[in-house]
Amino acid sequence: MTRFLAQRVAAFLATVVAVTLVVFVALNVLPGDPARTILGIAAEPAAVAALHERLGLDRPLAVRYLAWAGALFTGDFGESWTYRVPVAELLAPRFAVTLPLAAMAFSLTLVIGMGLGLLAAARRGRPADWVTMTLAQVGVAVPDFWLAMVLILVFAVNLHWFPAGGFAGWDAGAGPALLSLVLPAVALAAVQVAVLTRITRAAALEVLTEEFVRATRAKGLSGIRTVVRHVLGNTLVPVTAVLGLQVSYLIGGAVVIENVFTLPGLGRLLFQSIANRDLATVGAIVVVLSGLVVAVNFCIAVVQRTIDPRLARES
Amino acid sequence: MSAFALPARTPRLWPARIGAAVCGVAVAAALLLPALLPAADQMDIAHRFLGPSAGHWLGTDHFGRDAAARIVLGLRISLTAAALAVLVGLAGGAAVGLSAAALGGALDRWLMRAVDLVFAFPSVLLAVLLAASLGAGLATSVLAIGVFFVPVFARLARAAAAVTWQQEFVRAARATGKGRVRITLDHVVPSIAGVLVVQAATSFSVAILAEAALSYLGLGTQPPDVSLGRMLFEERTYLAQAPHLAVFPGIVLALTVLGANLLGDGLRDALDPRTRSNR
Repeated sequence: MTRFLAQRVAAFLATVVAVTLVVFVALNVLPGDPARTILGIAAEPAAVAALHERLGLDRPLAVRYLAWAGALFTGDFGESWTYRVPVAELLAPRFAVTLPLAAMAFSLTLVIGMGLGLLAAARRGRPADWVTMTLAQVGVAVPDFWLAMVLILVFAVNLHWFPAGGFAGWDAGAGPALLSLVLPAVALAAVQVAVLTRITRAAALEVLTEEFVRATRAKGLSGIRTVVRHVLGNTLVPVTAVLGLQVSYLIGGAVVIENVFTLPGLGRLLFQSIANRDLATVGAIVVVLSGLVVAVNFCIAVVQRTIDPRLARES
Repeated sequence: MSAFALPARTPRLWPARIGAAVCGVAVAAALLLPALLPAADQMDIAHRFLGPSAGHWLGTDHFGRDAAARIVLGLRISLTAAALAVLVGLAGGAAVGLSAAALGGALDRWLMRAVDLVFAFPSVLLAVLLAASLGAGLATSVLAIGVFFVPVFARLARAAAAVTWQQEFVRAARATGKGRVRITLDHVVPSIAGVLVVQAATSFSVAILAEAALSYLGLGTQPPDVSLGRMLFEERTYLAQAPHLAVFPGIVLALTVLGANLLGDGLRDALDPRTRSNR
């Protein structure tokens, strides 16, 4: 286990470094001069040169990368070109929106997706299975941002159950804040629920054909009880394998969904920073969100190894 | 009979047929309907936000343009962009995967590590990053979505090609002195083509959704061009006033993706029995 952990930590760090490298290359090496972007095409050459010096753009690429990445690891994300404040200060309050949103969507995905998948497997070939699988097929096809618009139309504009957008803030108490995250979380989770339902069902059906399950049936346990007691645990292995990908999609999706609901999270800031050509902030957000995805995948790999002893024997 | 005793079924064909039909209708509509509808760019400010009628099947938008004509035009751009993005991913991924399998050794390991790295990025973030540095536009979004597909195709191509390289007939070809490039083109490509086609079909619906999301963020298609995602972006301001403008493009988008998914699943069941879905 120690060797496994050491390997995973090394892979985790290597990936994070590689992520910073990709972001740096995308923002600095690809065509386009950040100083010209900030000042506009008609800027005086002298002004451009001065800004180059102030942003440190006149130094060699490798030096700039090391300075930037080194600062990142100490929590210094540079200064926002638009707001003239440290990027870290901009990001901190946004986490309080994006993380609860992603967590809420993830919980919905896990509970509903696995629940429906097991239900469909236990009721294979019956109406409950058929209805669930049809819903899942449709769910995979519906664009999340469009579902978000329809949810706003129905539950905010017409029924007034939830706010149509914006964020109440945590200062006013958890109630209003959570309420403004419900519709976004549902829109974000819908597609992933559909995906997880299909995967859980397929995994459960695989387990259901095994001898020990037949034995429990022979013993007289009902279908649902068999599924809960004996199948659920065994479906966790394939399900954990896709959860990492799902977290990646949820965090990417949050960028889009926050913009539909005008939630002041990292995704909204990312979008605004692109519009403002604030590349320092864009880079920081992409690094932070990608780092989050890599970190979650690291945790999932450790969990997988813990719940599936077969993986230990293989390595 | 309970779920516990049923053997694996032979694949059913009707979902794939429905999928093929839906995709066919979508492509036909994108190609043929413009002839029947008013011009998509003809503005008529006096008749904004009209509801569906005989003259305007799906009503008019915020400039008084015919919504149905806009949707058909948007569908055409969405389908084209998605197809191009899949082609970028297929070409790039096949090139990487085939080279890795043909050359083996250290290059194989490093190529596959690079592929894993791209996987670590949330796809939307990758696209947003490219759009931010290259500038928003249809070409950028096609490229960004394509780059996201490269690792998917690369892994698949490498895995399938590696199996082929182990087979007798390839060994025989090597023994006769054929080079790696010739063997790849003559033997490996034909034997893995089926797997890649199935993946291309599956990726197509993902590409449609991804292009729509990027356009919705304003990073894809730019006006006066329109894709279905771009329409939703433009109409979201009028959601309360004219909900039909946001509802119809979404339904067209969802139906097209549903059709592409059903077709992709059907093709997979037919061509690639190893990954046959458990029904």
